[in-house]
Amino acid sequence: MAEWLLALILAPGDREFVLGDLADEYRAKRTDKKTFRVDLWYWRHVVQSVGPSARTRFRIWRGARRRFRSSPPQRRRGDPMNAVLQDLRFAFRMLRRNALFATVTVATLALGIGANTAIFSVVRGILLKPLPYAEPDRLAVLRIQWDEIGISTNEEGHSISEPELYDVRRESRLVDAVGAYYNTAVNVTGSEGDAERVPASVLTTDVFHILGVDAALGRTFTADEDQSAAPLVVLLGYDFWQRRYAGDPAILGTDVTINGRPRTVVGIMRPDFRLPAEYSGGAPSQVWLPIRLNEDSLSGRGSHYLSTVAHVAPGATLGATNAELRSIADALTEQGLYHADANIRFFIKPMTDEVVGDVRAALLVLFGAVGFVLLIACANVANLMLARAEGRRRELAVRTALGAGRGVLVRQLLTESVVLALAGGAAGLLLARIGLAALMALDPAQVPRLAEVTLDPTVLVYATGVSILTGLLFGLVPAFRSGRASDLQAELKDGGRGAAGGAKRHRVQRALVGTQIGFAVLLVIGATLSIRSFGNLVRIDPGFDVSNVLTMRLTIPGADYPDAASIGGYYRRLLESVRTQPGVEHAAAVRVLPLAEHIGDWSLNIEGRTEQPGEDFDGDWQVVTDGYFEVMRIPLEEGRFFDSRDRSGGRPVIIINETMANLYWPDGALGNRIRLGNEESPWLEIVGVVGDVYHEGLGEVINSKFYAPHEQFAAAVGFTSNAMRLVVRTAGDPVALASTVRREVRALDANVPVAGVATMEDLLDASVAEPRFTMTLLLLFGGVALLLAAVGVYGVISYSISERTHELGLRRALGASGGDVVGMVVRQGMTIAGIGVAAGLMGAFWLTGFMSSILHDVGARDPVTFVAVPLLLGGVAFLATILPAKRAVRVEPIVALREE
Amino acid sequence: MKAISEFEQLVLLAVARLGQEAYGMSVSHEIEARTKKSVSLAAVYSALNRLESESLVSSWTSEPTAQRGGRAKKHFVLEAAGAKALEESRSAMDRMWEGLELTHYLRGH
Repeated sequence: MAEWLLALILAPGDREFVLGDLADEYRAKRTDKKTFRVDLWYWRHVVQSVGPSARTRFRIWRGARRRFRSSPPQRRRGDPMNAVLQDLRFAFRMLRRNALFATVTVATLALGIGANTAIFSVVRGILLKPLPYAEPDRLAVLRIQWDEIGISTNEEGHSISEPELYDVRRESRLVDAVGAYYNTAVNVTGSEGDAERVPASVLTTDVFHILGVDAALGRTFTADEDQSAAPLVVLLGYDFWQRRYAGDPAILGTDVTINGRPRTVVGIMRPDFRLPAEYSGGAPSQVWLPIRLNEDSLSGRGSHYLSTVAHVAPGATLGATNAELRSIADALTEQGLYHADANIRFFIKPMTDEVVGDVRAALLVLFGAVGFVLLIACANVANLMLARAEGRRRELAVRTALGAGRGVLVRQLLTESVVLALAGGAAGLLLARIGLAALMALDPAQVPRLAEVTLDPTVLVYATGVSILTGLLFGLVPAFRSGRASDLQAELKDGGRGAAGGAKRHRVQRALVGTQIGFAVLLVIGATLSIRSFGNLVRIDPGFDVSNVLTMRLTIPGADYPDAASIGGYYRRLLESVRTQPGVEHAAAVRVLPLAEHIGDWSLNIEGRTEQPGEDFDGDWQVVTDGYFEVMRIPLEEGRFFDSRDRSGGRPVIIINETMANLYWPDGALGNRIRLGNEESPWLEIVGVVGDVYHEGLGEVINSKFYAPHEQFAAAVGFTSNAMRLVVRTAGDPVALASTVRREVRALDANVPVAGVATMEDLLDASVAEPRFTMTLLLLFGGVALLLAAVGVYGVISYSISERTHELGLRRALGASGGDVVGMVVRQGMTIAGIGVAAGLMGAFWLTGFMSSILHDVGARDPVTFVAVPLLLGGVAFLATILPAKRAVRVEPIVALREE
Repeated sequence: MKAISEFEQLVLLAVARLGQEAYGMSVSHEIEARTKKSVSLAAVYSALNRLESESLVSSWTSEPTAQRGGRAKKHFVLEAAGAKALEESRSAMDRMWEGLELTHYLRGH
């Protein structure tokens, strides 16, 4: 991008060599410095090139002119190129003569255009740029949805199960390919480095083919590599390959140890490759394994765990495909595979929607907001231009008298505006660059595809276009007003007194300021709503105490701990040793951390009850060791917590949350029994009811949930969880204990990798990163709008007072008190402000509806906001008016009268 | 002959110092290294072109390389006229300095 811009700036003769030199040097610097600093260095050169290049170009141009002049004189008026050049030169001269005006204007525009460009580049990178797959328009995700008690379970739909994958593959014509995968993590061990836990995906071999991506080195999986008899193979991520294997290409064809088993490396993926589900945050996979599905022994139809990539046949529409999928689901229901009341249905969702998800609404709101900021900036500059045009009336009149047509004057004034706007645009680009860097710093992981955002040529074209449009927009009104012939004649006769035509100009100026205030009201209301929404969000009690909790992920190798007893024993020993460390108050382990990981739901049986039509007994499934509730400080409502009794061999027990208790046992849950597995598995007695905890996110729906004791889980369902999260409540700063806990883990078994060390507070923070991102930006834009509007009001009032010094002096000489004069001026200012605020309120009333999807627990027409913001704006306008008014009064009447 | 500016002198001197290795980036590095002042590459090129148009330096272009994004490199060599211009600037300066003592003014700084 910088190179492209530089090529534009440089004089043609030097272009090739300067770019070459810089490319050379850039490469040399890249190897030993941080990219950002080197980029900055390059940008410095771009900026520094502007002056000298302009001089070089000017010299070349002057040389050409000299040669031109020595040829016989030609009539130049008719040559449009020449006229533009002349206008440009004149514009530069005029602006240089009035440097303060030019600086203020360029700075205002830079703010507007910069903010606009930064957000546009985000919108482009996230919403507009196609996904890095072969046919992004034909890609979709396949989901399943069903009803419970007549209500669809989840707007977003659910993952699908193995039999359903085969059903759709077999039956659907419009979906011509479906691949499936799930995200997990694997242990990588071996002599080449420490044991480590690496994010991984397990996938059907056609996923790469459907996405149309190839390996950077080697190959992706072949079709038969998901057969159970096929040799064990693995694909590695580029970054992981670079880090652990030093980018050695000889790794291809050799074996690495994944989860304790040797697998042959067949390929290295490109650095930027991600599966669709990996765009919404979290560390992307660095290891890919073929899934092993056997059509004769698929897992249960209700086991919905597969994410999908579907390819839609050419020519098939979304509607037609979904209709076909629906009929497939209906046929399956008729075969008796699903309960008829469940009204089960498959559907596809375009891949882009899936990846971008809920960010779209927030981004569009932000894009709208920066649009308003730019409009305010335009109004401000237009006002400045109007005021300046006043000072040039005589000049323009003289030029008219000397025969310049109105068109010539208008063109000249517009050229000046566009020159200003382009300068503002250039400065804005720089601001956008800085702003983008700040945005990235604000939130690197939670917003999908943010890392892909750059200022590329398209963004540059956009910025240029916006600049020119802006120039025309704010230049048009002043240009036409000043170019009017009748005014000009009056001006000459008037001898520069300047009273004529003033009223009309004042009206235009006031209208502009009113518009500014209106837009500012809109923006500040938007910002306030998002602040209130965010405030509500973070004030939500998560249901547990996030302070002083250290968390980390542990996975013990299945080969060394083959059964539930050894896994349970490991965690028991680990917790015992961690709990004795100084500074540790309590410690426990849990399957998935709330607010950080997806939990999933589990079907269950309730003793003595059968599911009625439309009823489906289930709960989110959590597995914990004893001490979990104490560490998290989740309140006990009834019964007891888990303790040392609840081991394997002990009486099978379970604890449920309040929501589940109220849903299934409104008359008291204790003593009732549920079953999680098949008929052979034991009934589990409910021994405790604990408070509800937000799991999927603050303010999200709380589902019914059960907590199974870790050491009894295997007996209850047939398998156990060897990957657990350690939660440690500390007396002081949890971070300080991280190394102690790590040391204990290593001391017990050095082959157990530790990952994802974070405090619970960090995790809570990360869970609200996206709304915080939106709020911060809206707040920034609202602030800029407020500032610009205040400057606008102040400028217009000051200017009108300075014009009316004579009149105000006369009024005071005739007996008006200072207070009367101030009152008059303030009344005038506040009338403008009032009209602007009213218009802004109306606009906001209509527009904030678009925000409702990103607001939490605040109405889009929140009365508090709609009262407070106008008051705030009114206050700001009042201050911006009273200051110049007071100053006007300080002038002695006699001085004011003398002034002509 | 037209007098050359201070910046042009710096550029000429850098070209002279660098010999075969004089091109835009190396010239700007040489100036930055010796004067501790930052110079713009475009300004260096601008000066080099001007000097070339007055035949104080001459240039030749090397083959494009992939490392430079397929762009050629323009090398500069000091010409006799350039050396002469430098000598003249220097002797003009020397004559101005002749017998001048500034310590009196610098006292107190």
